[in-house]
Amino acid sequence: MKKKKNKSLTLLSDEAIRYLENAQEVLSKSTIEDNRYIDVKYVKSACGIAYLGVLKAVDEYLLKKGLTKKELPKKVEEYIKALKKYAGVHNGKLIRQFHDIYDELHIAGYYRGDLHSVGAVKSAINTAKDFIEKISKGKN
Amino acid sequence: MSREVKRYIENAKEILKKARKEGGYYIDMKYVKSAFGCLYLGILKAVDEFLLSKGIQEKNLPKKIDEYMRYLKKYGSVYNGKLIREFDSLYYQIHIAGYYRGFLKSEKIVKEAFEEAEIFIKKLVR
Repeated sequence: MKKKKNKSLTLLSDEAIRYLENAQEVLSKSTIEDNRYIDVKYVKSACGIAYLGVLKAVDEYLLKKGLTKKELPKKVEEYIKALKKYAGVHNGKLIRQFHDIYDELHIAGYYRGDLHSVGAVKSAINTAKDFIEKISKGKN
Repeated sequence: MSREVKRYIENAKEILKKARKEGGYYIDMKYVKSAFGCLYLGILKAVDEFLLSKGIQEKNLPKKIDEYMRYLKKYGSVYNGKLIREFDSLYYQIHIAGYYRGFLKSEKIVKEAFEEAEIFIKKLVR
C-alpha cells in the first residue's frame, strides 16, 4: 500500500509519525457501514498502535529533558508523574489531555473495544496527533 | 478457534513480519510492540469466547485484567489453576513486556511468546 504522508505530521518525530501512520493503515482495513466501523478488531488494534505513538512521543520528550533511557516511565502512573514533573509547571492542559488519551484510546479503544462510530475513532486518533504535535514542539 | 481469534493472530504475525531483524534481534520495535498489542487482543477475545461458552452474557464480559482473572478462576477451575497461571504469565509477557514496554527483542523469545499464546488460545477455544 502506497503511503501518503500527511503534511501536518511532518513536524512530529519520525517514530511517532510512523506509529500514527501504521494505526491509520490498520484502521483502513475495517469496513464502514452507516458511519460505524464494522470490524472492531481493526479499530482496537489501531487504537493500540496509536497509543504506542503517544507514549513514544512522551519518551522522546523526557529524553530531551535529560532522563536516561533506563529512567523512562514503565506504567501509566509513572508517565503522569513524569509529565507533571517535566511539563506540568507550564502545561496542565497537556496532562489532562494525556489522561483523556489513556481513557479513550487505550482503555475504551484498545482494551475494551468501546469505540465504534467513525467520528469517535477519528476524534480519538486526532487527539493523539494533537498531543504528539504539542509535546514534540515542547521538546525544542 | 473462531475466525475472529484467528484473524487477530494472523494480523499480529503480519505486523511482526514488517519488523527488521539483525543477528537474531528485532531492531524495529514499533512493529514488535504493535504485533504484541494485536496478539494480546486475540488472547482476550479467546477468553471472552470461552466465557460466553460457559453462559456468561456478552454485557457481563470482563473489562479489566482483575476481572479477567476472577472470571477465569471461577470458570476455568477444571484446569486446576494452570489456566490462571498461564493467563497471568501471558499478561505480563505479551501485554506488559511485549506491547507496553517493548522489552522483547530477541527473535527466539518473540517466537516463543507467540507460540505460548497460541497454545493457551487453543486450550481455551478448540
